[in-house]
Amino acid sequence: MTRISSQHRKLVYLVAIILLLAPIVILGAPGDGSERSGGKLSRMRDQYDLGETSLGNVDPASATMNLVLLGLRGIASNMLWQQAVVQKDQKDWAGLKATVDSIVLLQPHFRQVWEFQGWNLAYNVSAEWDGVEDRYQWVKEGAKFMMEGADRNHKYPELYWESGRILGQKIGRADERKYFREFFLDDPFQEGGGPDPELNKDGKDNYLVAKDWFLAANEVEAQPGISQSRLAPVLFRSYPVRSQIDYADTFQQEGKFDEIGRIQEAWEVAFDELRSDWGSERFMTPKGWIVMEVDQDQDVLKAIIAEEDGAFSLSEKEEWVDRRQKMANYRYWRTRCLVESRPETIQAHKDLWEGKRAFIDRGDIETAETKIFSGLQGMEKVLAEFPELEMESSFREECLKGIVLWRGAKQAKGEEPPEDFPLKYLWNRYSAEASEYTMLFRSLYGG
Amino acid sequence: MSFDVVNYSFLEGLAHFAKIFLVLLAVLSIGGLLVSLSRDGVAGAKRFGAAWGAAFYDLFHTSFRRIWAIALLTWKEATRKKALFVFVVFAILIMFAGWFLRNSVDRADLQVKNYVSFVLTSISWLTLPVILLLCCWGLPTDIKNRSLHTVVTKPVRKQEVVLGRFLGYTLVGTVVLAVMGTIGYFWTVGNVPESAQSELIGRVPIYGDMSFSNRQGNRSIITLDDNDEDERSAGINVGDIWEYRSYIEGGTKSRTFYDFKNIDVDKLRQAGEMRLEYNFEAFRSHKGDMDKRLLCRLTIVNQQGENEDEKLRVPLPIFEVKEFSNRSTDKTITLEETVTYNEEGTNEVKTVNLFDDVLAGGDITVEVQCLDPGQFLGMARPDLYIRLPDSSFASTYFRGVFGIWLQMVLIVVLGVTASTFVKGPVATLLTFGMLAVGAGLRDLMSGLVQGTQEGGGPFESAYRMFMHMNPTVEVDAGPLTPIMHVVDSAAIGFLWTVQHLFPEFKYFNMTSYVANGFLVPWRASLLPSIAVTLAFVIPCLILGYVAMKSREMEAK
Repeated sequence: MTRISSQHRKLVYLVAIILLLAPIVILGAPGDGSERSGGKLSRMRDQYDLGETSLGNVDPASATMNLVLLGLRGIASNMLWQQAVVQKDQKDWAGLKATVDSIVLLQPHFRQVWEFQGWNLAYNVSAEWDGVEDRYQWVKEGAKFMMEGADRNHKYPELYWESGRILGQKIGRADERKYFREFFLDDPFQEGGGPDPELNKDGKDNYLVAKDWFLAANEVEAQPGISQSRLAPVLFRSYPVRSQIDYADTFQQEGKFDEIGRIQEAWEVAFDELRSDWGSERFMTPKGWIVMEVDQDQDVLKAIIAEEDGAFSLSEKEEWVDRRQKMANYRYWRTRCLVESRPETIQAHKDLWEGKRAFIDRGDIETAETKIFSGLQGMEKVLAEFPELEMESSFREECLKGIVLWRGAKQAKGEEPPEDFPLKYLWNRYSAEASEYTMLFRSLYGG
Repeated sequence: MSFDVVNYSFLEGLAHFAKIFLVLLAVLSIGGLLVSLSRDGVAGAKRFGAAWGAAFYDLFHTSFRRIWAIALLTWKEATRKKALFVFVVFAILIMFAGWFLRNSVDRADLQVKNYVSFVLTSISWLTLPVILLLCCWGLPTDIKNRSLHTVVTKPVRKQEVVLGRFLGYTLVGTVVLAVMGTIGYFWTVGNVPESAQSELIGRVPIYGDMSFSNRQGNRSIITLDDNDEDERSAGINVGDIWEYRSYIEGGTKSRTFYDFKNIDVDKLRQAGEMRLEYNFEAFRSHKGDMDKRLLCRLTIVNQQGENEDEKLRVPLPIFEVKEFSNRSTDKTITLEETVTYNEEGTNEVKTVNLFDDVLAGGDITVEVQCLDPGQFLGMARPDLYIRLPDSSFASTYFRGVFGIWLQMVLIVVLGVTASTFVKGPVATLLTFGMLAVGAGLRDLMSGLVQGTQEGGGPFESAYRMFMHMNPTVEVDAGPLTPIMHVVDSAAIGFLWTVQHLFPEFKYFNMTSYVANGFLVPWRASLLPSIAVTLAFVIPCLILGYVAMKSREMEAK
């Protein structure tokens, strides 16, 4: 080939390169962050929210891993999953956590990875450890992992919700809850004591921190174009209130009756949020929008019917309100919050608790009998006003166990329990449960 | 650690090697003689003898100066091929490793493992492929470019070319490994959190033999030297998917016995103490007291004395089992020279001398007992050991690097040998194949050879696949079944022969020891690695020499 033809050939290449570059520039020019800036692809990314930054905070390590692996990240993450399974089986916990971290570097926007592995760490791995501090450590690892997932994925309400679930229910309802809840405020692995700032920087109760996460989940879920596939909306959106109820409930569960004002306030907040937040939210049903908190005159429903141009009748709306209330046990929770915020109910709980402790911890039969009897009287009054509460198992259990202890105290004094006593109708109506608690009492304390 | 540490018998290995080596040599020699005889008759036989003579002549006239010259040439060639660019990749990895490792587990003691594993794995993954490619392509490229002519036309013997290549590539790899190993060491020490620096150690353990007694206190007398798997794992299986540990039941007469024989009491006396370290696992069958970990007791029994009553029994204080902890302080029991204990039965307080009474004679048994009724304590043989004074982290770390170096030497030897008779791509595939089989398929091969692999040999497996039969289902007895078994046994016989041609790579992986804070053991890891490497050097050198002698250098 001649020198000239070679030059020509190079010129042709150059022109071809420029021609090919032109569409790339037009289509792929990066935007400057403002609307309608950049090339076609950039604008489409903005339009469909596909950009990395619009999904959540960007981790440079994650982006590097994906670039380095080119198209092989699927294979790499599969291999890492297998490795994680082996490491879990062989109890290589540090290795498992490192592998899981690598998987999420490869797949930072794959929701199920965060959910599965966060759960795995908080529930499965923690259960493998014998020391209660160690178990708490792994619950924290799971919670932090889930929180990191939420940070990387602002559009998955499930990850915020799961973070709240670990912080609320795992810490608050596990067998080890007494320790976990203490550790949440005073972390055994924290130098100098105090809470772990990554989980609880303000030193709040675990249920209140969980409530913040559930609120965040609701906020995300409320954004246009975002939905969650975890629970029915009416249940999903109940969790902030449920967390507040759980928080309020801890006072009587743990016998913290020193500050009655705080207990009352916690239940009042729950009652208020239940009615004005959750209860007043609109939920879609086959018969249009409804709310669960409806007054006697059905004004809210009527307003909705008017907005919907009368597409559905009031009776249809009422039927679906009833269905949703039943589904979420709404009426029970509303009554419970109302009842529990009253001083006389708190006093009844307190009497039952103090009587129980006097009997079990100190063997002080006299105090036990007096306190429990007073508590049962208090409960009788509450149930007389709100009979629907007897349908709720934990409320009923507290009353029936109180009767068992009171009868035990009587027997310990050598007296026969009298024929008539407070809540006798409950004792007779739920005789199977009553005999179960009696058997349990006998197996523990004789008699 | 999550595997058993089994000592390697060098003499047995040597005898095995000699047997295979001599048989192969004899078969090949006889084969060669027969071929020569059949082709050229007596003249052929003479030529065969002459070739042997030339080989011995070459062997005894090997010049180390010429080998060194070829090694230096190999070094130059490798550096020109930009092999040392691997440092750049390593530097990038080290610079950004913190991004990937920093968030793993909040507990510093568990992080040590990740840092050490990362460094040693990166070093081997970067070094070994580069060396593999270099050594597989060196000779074929020289032959192709005819640059080898400038060497072979000089008075250089063929084994010197092969040895020079071995040495040259080993030199390249050694420099790369030395630099990376040193940087990796300082990076690890610098990055491990302050609170976990004390875990950068090299424990020197003495392991015992393990046996169990059942809940009635009857002890199985079988030890690990026996091959009866059932008797060996006489503890309770709690249903754990990982069957590494066996369990004893708490609050019963169930015990685990660790028998230590011929302990070097003087060495312990010099240290002034004896440390027992455990790594037990707790399994709860009921919630129990959540605030407390499982309680355990160790009793040291001196084995001097004929009857059990005459033996000195020293129960140690009860302790809580801290499972999975990597902090040595959590799981070490230290005995000073004077040991005070409460005698079993009488509860009388007694004082004995550790070295003169408890360890007298050097044979002791440590009995392990779980004290919580209904709960279980799990352990494997390496889970209780006498911990001699620790070695430095540097000593175990560089042993780990030495393990990678030995792997590299083996790859050089295999790669260069392969490149003497096949071209670069084929040599690369061949060496990589040997590596892959040696590292990943050894267990499958030995399972097939020993008949423990479910599903039978190749023909039975094919039949099962075709018939959609589960490997655990018995094959129906039919007219073709015996034939299939005969053919399979021939194939497995062939496999038995060739399995020895693949190096056993499990010894070379020393990362687990280093990462778990143990000194890489000489007899369980270093010695077998060296033995395996040497076992391949000699046959490969002969093979390379024969290939170079017999091949046409004008090969295209």
